[in-house]
Amino acid sequence: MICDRARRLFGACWDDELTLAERDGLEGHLASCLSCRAEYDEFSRVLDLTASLPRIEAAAGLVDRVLARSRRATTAPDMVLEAGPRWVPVAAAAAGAVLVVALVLVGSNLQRRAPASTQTHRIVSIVEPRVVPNSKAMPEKSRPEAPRGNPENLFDPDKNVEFILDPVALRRGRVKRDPEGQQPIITF
Amino acid sequence: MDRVAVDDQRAFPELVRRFQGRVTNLVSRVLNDRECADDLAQEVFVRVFVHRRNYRHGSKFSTWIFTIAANLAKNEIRRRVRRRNWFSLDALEETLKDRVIQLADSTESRETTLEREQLQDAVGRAIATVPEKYRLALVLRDIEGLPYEEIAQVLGIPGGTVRSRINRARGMLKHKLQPLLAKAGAP
Repeated sequence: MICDRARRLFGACWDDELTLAERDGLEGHLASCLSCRAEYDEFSRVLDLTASLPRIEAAAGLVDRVLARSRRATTAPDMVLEAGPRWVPVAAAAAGAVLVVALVLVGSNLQRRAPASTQTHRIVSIVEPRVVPNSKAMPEKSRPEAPRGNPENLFDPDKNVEFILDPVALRRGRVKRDPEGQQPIITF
Repeated sequence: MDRVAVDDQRAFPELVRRFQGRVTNLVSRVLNDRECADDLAQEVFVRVFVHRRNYRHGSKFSTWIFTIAANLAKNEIRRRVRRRNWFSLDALEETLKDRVIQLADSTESRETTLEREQLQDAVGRAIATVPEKYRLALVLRDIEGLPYEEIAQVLGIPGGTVRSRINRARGMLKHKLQPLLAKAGAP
């Protein structure tokens, strides 16, 4: 055994962790190599000294001081028990958040689509508003007749009129006849 | 420890009494500072109490308490290094020189208690100058006598790393104590 290898085994020898073959090899080397023998003796002395250092006893009253402090201390939560199900509320919260976001998105999409789908309302028939005279205030004979064929009247009461209405906002519009001239169309 | 975890009033003082010596010794030897060791030992037990419900029942209690003690000692060493208020290598060399002179001058009374105490004091100081990561492994192994596997758990490092750190720490300690031993061993 060479010196370098022997010196590397000093620690394991001290800890009694050498195989029989290693121990025999080391002992044989130490018996023949004075330098390594001296080195090992020094190594052993240092570890002997270290191991024989007197034990330092705890200060008197340590127990009482620890108890006094521990009474004031707050117990930490049980992390061992909580470690398992901790993901559940997190996952539930995340799922809830995703659900809320999805609902908001769907709702806003519907709102955006709703006007488009109901943007035009085709009114097939319309009843001309009638003026109901106040019978007390005006005699029956003097009641004006509902205007027929009046150019100011937009609608022919005998024909169906088609309206295209904006369901969201009512604005001023104008009447336009369709190319066939059959039905007036009000655009706003 | 199971009784402490379920708030048995008598269990915790008993636990402190049982482990106070080992914890104080470990922290004292790592820091080489008796007063600070008492404070740290106190802190170790308070932490054991505070975190008593987090103790994993599969592991050894000594491993758990030594882990807490080692971490606190490590923090204290780093705090001291930051404050640059710690025993320097130069100071150790001065101390060792003094000890060598004292030992050389007192050859007739080499076996006296005083001499032994001086030697032990020098060894304690030498240990305190070994770098922190080697020192903890050294103290746990060569002073507290923990098996390598338990030291690996306490320090949270692989067993091979523990062995290599202990070997290096022993080599450093031998190197630091060499002049003292040579003089003390001289006829």
